[in-house]
Amino acid sequence: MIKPVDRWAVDFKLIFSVVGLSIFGIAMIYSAGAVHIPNPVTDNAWLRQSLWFGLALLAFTVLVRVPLRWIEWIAVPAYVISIVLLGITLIIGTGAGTAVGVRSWIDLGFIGFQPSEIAKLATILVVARVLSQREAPLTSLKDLLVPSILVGLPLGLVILQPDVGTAIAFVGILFAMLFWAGAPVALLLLIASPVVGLFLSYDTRTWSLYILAVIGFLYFYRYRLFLFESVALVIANFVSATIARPLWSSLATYQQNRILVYLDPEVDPRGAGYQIIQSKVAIGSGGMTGQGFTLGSQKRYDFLP
Amino acid sequence: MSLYSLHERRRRALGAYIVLALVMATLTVAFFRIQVLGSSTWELRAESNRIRQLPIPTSRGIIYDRNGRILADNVPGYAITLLPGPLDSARITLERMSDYVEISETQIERVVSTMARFGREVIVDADADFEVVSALEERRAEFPGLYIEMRPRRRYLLGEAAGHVLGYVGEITGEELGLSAFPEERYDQGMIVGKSGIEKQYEEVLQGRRGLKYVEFDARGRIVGDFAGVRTDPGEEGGELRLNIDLELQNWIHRIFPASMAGAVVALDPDDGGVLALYSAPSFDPNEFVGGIDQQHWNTLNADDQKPLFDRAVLGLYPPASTWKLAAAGIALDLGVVTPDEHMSVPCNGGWFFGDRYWRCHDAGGHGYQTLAEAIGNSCDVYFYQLGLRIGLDDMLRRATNIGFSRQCGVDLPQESRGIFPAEREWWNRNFNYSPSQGEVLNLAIGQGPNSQTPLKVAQFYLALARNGSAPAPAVAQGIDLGPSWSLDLEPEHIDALREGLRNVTAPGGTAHFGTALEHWEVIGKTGTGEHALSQAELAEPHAWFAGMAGRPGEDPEIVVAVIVEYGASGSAMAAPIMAKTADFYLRKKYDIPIDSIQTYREHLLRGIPTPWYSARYAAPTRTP
Repeated sequence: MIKPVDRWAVDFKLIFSVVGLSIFGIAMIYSAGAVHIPNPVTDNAWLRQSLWFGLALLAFTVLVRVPLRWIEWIAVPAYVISIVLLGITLIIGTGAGTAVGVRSWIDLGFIGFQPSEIAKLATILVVARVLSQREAPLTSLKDLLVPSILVGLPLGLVILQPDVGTAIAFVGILFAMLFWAGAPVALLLLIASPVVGLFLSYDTRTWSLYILAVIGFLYFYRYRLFLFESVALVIANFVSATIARPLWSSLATYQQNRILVYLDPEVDPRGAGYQIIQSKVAIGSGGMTGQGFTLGSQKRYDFLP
Repeated sequence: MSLYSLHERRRRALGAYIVLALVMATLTVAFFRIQVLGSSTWELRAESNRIRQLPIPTSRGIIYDRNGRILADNVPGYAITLLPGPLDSARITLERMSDYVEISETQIERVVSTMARFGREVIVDADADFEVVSALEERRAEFPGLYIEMRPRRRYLLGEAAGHVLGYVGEITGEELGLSAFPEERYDQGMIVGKSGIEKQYEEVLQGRRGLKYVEFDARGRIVGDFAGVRTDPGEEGGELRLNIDLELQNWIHRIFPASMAGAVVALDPDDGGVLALYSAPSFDPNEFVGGIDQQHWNTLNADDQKPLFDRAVLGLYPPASTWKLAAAGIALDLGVVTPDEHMSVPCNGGWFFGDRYWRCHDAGGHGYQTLAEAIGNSCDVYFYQLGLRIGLDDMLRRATNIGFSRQCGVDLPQESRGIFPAEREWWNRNFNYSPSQGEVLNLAIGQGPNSQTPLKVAQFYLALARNGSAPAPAVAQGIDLGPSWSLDLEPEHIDALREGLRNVTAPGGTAHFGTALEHWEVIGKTGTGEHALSQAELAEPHAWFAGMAGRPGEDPEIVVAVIVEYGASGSAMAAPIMAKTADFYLRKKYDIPIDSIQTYREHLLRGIPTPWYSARYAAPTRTP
């Protein structure tokens, strides 16, 4: 029996940040709509956003009252359904907005949604459930296998769409949850090491220093890992460094551009670097005091969509 | 270590807190750097983002003829321009635009790559029709980045008649932008510059200074309004240019030049060497080139066997043939190897044996004994073979080269061929791998052999004969100094002797009399029959020449004209009447006598029109046979 006082034991800090950020967001959308030449997309966007915010508040009040056990119970079916939906998306999915090439939406005619958004929540629930049912702490790579598979499945499906941005979010989810579940930080860092190595491999000397550091780290950490795990990690690092170049050339030009532009937006100021540069102009032109609410010139003159 | 021990939980939370705090700190520092420290640069960039300089094209200088009539001016025109923006959307805009404007896939790529290279507005169509412009303007919203620029459009009032000499204009190319003739501070991509002829030669004068205006744009290139912060710079119009060309004369030549024939006419003013007319047939209409000539038309012009784009008057090299006999005669007189009154030792019997071959005269009937003037009048080859031998090959080469037959005239046009004339015997070894025999001089003396001249050069030579033996470089534009005159180094009495010969050509009984006799003027000149490889093989007719001068009877010449008609067969029948009609038109205009299209004696005879003026003038024979 839940005591009445528990029912209202809400985390006010959390509510304050969420509500505050949402209202700030709506204000920004309102400001963004104030352009010199009206545009049907941005015109009443802030009204629509407010409507959604109202609906979300309603859903929030209901959800906080739902017993935890229900949520635990719904985790597995929700996960299965979202995997099925992701599968369907690959077949009937459509692109939308600026990402027409990515088939990440399911269009029901009256409304469209992205199954990957549902999959994110469902994955969090199911991984939380699996991790909380463990008796022993997470110590070895083997212990991380099940959660990794649970996250890897939707992640793989999302990559096939291909929506790399959302896929990266899944990686973030996995690491955050493993961290919170008590996985050794060093182990997490070691898992991430092949990815870091991938980026460092553009320069042989840098990568050599890096791999020495990883091996040294493994040596200090040797009593906490099985030998095969250490060997596997080193091999993984070498493999990632070897495939770096073929992987790069297999990327589509626009994907290569995104990475290059991330390093230096000025390489393609009118193409891939446009958004970053114009954003920097928008931020930079504000100065100490800013240009004023709804008055930003970059946006008024439509330089930033 | 329990998974849920409070201690471990706290440590983890702290760890997460530290990581997030580091991320936020990094972002804060980055924002501070951009927004506060780098504010000035970014603020400037925001301004330049939306306030854009747009060039204001200025009018090109007007080109006038010698009488102040307009040869080339400007009319309002429209250029479809695309303002810089994201390259993808530029491409999409262009593709949409192709429903209304003719743009090919390659042109789209060209525009996009130019935009990527310069990051500036790019001209899509430099000369758009009003209908196209209004169609685009109506659907403005569909074409972000579209900017319709008012720009003066060049107009050539004479069209085909003056295509070569005036030249044409076009958009500056990437290559041209790299040349020192187009300094960076004055030229920019998208500008219209002279491409040939006078337009190119006097680009510096004619080109104005483009102005600048400041306009506020949104990112899609839609004009939000004029920017009041900076004053608009209206620029400066190009300078005027006044030519020696006579518009009406140039047009007249175009009218009378035989249709379907190729050739050139050069008319010079003996007063100052000014170019009265410079015509090359067939011609092209420079108006077609304004705003970019369409590919199909360009291909037609280039594929044409008669090469309409080739300016025969200054670039065409032809054997000067008998017109050059005057040069040989001048050299002989100056060397003192012949006097005007003496006869050659061998009379003309229609040919002459020299060396191991028989050298033919053009008239198999022969001309008998002749003085120099008579030989010029008859264009007797046998006389000139002997004259050539008297000069000798070495002196012939040296003198002809000295007086400039392998040089350019120095006309103020971007291109001019230099004449071909050997400077020394070595020339034959170099080009044909044999040493020349003395017999080569026989060919040179009658204007054949390795001797090719432009119609302009031949005209310049006759200009010297019409004056005191010296000829300035022919100038198309007025008020320019083209350097020292070309001097033939001839005594006045020698010039008189040569002119006497020219008079025999057009006098009654002379080869060109009927086609050159005019009511009001006296024409003197020399015909020529330019043999070339095809005519020697009897596959085509030789080129027809006539070069001479005209003026009031008994007075100094007032116009010098050289005419060549390719494959025209006969200098007297084909080229001479063109010269006479050209001179007649010019002189009638000069002395306010009504223009008549029936001009020469022959034209009167053919139409059965009575010619009292002819009987009055030529009743008594002016020349004893």
